Amino acid sequence: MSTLYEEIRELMAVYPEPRSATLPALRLAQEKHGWLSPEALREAAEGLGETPAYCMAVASFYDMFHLAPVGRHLVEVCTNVSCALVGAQQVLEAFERELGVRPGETTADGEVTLRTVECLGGCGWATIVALDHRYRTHVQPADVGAIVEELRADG
Amino acid sequence: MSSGWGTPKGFAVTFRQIFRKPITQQYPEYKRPVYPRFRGRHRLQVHENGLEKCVGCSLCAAACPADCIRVVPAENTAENRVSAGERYARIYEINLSRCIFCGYCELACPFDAITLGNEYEISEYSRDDLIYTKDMLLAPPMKTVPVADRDLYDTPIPVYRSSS
Amino acid sequence: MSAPENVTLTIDGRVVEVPKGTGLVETAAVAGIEIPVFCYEPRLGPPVGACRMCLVEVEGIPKLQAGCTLTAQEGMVVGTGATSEKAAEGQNATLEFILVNHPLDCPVCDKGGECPLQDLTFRYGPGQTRMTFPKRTLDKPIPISPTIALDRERCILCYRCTRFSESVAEDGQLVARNRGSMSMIATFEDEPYRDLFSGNVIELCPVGALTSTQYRFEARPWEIQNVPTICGLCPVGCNISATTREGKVKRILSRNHPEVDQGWLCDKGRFAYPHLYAEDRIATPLERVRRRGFGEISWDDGLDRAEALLRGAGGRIVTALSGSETIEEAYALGRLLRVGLGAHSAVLPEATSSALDAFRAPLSSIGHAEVVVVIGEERVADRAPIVGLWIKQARRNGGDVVELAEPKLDAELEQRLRSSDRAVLIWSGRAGGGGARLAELAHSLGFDGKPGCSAFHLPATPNGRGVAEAWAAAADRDEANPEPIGLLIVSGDEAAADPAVRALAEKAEHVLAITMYHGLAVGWADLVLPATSYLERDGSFVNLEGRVQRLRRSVIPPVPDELGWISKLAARFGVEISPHASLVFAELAETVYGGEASFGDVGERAPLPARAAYEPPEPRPVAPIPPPAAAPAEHFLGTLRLLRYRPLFSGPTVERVPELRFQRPAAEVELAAADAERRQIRNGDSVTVRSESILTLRARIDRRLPPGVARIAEEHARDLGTTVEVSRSSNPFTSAGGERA
Repeated sequence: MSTLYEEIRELMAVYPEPRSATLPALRLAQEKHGWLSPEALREAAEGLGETPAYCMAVASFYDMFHLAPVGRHLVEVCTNVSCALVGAQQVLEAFERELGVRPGETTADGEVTLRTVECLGGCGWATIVALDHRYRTHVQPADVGAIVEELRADG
Repeated sequence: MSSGWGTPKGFAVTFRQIFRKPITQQYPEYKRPVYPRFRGRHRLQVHENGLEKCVGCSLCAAACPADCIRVVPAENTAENRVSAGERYARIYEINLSRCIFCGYCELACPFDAITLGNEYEISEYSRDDLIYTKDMLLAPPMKTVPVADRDLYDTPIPVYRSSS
Repeated sequence: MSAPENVTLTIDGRVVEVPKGTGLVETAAVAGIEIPVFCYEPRLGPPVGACRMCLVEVEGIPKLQAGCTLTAQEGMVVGTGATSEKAAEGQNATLEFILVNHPLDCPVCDKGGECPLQDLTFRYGPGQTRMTFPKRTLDKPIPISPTIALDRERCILCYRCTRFSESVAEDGQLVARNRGSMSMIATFEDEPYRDLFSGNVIELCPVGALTSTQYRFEARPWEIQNVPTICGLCPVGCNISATTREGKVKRILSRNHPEVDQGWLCDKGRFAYPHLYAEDRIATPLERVRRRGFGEISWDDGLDRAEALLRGAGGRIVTALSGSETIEEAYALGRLLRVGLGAHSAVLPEATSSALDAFRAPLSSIGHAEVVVVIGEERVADRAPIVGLWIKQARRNGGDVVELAEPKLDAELEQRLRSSDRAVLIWSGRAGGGGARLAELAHSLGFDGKPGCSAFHLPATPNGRGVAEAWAAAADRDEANPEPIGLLIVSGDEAAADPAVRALAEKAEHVLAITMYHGLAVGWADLVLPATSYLERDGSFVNLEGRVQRLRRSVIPPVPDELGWISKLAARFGVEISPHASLVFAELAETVYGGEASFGDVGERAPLPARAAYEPPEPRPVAPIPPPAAAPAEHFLGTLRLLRYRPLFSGPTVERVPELRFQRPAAEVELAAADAERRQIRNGDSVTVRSESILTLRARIDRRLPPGVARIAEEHARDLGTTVEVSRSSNPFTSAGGERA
């Protein structure tokens, strides 16, 4: 048996209701596979004793699960109300120009994935952009060029 | 009441009429035009692009008080597209020996596919011949339906995706 | 139980008194007031309030409330759309919002005319739309299984289907994907929705989003007749309506009998009706000409030949019954053969017994049982699918479900069953003596005096018990086994497909087969008389509870029905039998069901007869159940016991419905995880199954399976012996198609 199966089994023991382990189990599967491929969902489902469809339904609800392959770096632009009010759309468009991809797509070299997400909880520092899960606050369209360069240099 | 003048008065009318122009029309040599909204034999209309307007929904059959319409629908496929949309009437029959030409079918039709035309000479020697099938009812596309006239209105003639 | 507390509340100015906790929708119905709903369906569990159609104004609460999620409270003052302007406006807005992206392709939609969305829009909705933007379009229809088509444009996201999948069928395959306005009903990837009960979502859908592919564009609601009848494919006898148009069955709908099926229907019952129109259906009597092939003959000739065969056998006749005859038909056949010809020998499809009548209860009693004990190695769903649903309901209601391979209870369980007021025993396996063994067990546990405790035996045939009783009632003589058999009469398709009957035919001089299909008659019958299906007959069936249910003729069969020609044939032997099922039933009721009874007494929803007193059965030899093989020692790869099972989706009927092919079991061998691990077999591996013969099958690891057995569907097990060796195929390139290696 795969170790993922055992790890999920351990997780389930922690919760009074085994289904509660769905989110952590999906996170484990995503860490292992890079994204939640059908195969990853199947493995998670086997561990949880649920159907793959159930895991897919849960995963598709949340922004932090990827149901499509992602690049090495992840750029997530919050487009919820507070960020939108201070110009998240312009920031997003700047990223689109800079990276040459549309939201939800990955650059041709497989380096960077651009996504829009719901509120990241930093409404006081809008616009929030999460670079590989690290927040950049008060991002303006003018900052985007530098951010992308930084990302590329990092790779 | 009888004064003896009755008979001459009557014949006076007769003789007067003899010298007037008769109003008898020599049917079938002469066919009197019907009113534009006369309800005669049905027609099934076709879009200008050749697709049938009828989608086989059977609402005409439901509305028919004489129960003389029979519709058997089938699904359009990419190879055999008969109407716009998902379904078409594979069989469309009207039993004209039962039809009372009330025009309810025309009213019920959501796609203006069935209309009552002006033709009224539909006598046959056999009842079976009075069952009109789809081939007999299909009419050539009409230019006179205003919504289909692109010059007058910009309502597009529907084009449907092949996957539907 | 103490009487529930009543509360008094006012709905639309009407004062109504109901037990506390009653849902507001039901409470309003008591007062004769309708609260319109889409998503509300009590059979699916707690309400979700997803559709907002049921908005009501409740005094003291500033905002409109979803009526379906409320329960009746003392002193509540409720205004529905009928009296409250605010509620009416809310419902109107709800409908307008639902219709924003609804395609309104009602003339094309199969639901058009019987669509709750259409009806409620006419009554509560706006007459016009203010939507001027293009509507959202999606790909449609999507076949989510070969029998169900999904149209996401029409979906209003009421979640009835997903709730059914999650909390009734508990298959978890139909889910809502994404969130918010992007939500859509989906299965995993492109996998079909493969479940025994998948078809119920079609009936649950309040719009035309989930439709049957078989019924697709077949008929509109004003062109059809619904015939109330029962399903004759398993011993439950679910109540169904057969929708017919122009003399053909077009679909099967469930017809809620709250005690039997609660309005659910399995896919076999729902989708198997095209067997009526199978290509190899026999339409005229057939006579064997020379060695091979059949010649068609007229009915008069057919009856002449049958008479000649019957007379020629001189009483040396054996009748193989299939258990899917109506009781009237079995009785008529019994009268003809037993009284007219003195041929008393019959091969019944299975043992039957009336012993369980002492522990009778409606099937619905399983749903709220405290403890359910299922005895036997066959899956409940393979024998009686609805019983499987009731068991799931019992588990959801907090009951314990114990599965045992054989009727040996440990002391703790026995104590529990003795003390419980709501215990249920279910026998799902072979060698149950038609329930006699279970009755003994129930009696020993003291179920006699407890009306809440019941026991059910799941027979293998739909009407085995009714047929046996009717056959027994036809004459009062013991059967003698004629040797050699002069004539074997094979009644029905199941008997014709039974290998044991085929073996018997080898010993018979002549074979008369009564079957629907050419494929079942070819090669062995001397004379074939065409049979009819359960959808084409009048009569009655006895279900596993012992409930006599009425079968109504939905469509006129292409051939005379059995009762008709049996009556004619019987007249030639001086036996008088009515060709009308109602008269035969009345005659039969006097002897079997103790007194006068008519079809009128059976009614559309048959009542359950009262419990009988328990009578200990006469001691008879009980066929021993083969003991399960002991789990082999760690390092010894011993043999496994072959567990042959008859899947629900099998038999001559299902084989003739191409849409159900995906439901039939694959060429697989199911293994317990421990057994598989010991043999280094992984899920999906190609394995060799060896006994006297060798088969190559695909392995499937089933964590529910006890170790020591290999479970293979009968159609794939072929002639394997009772014990098998299972090993990984040495040649990895052997295809796992079930070919003989």
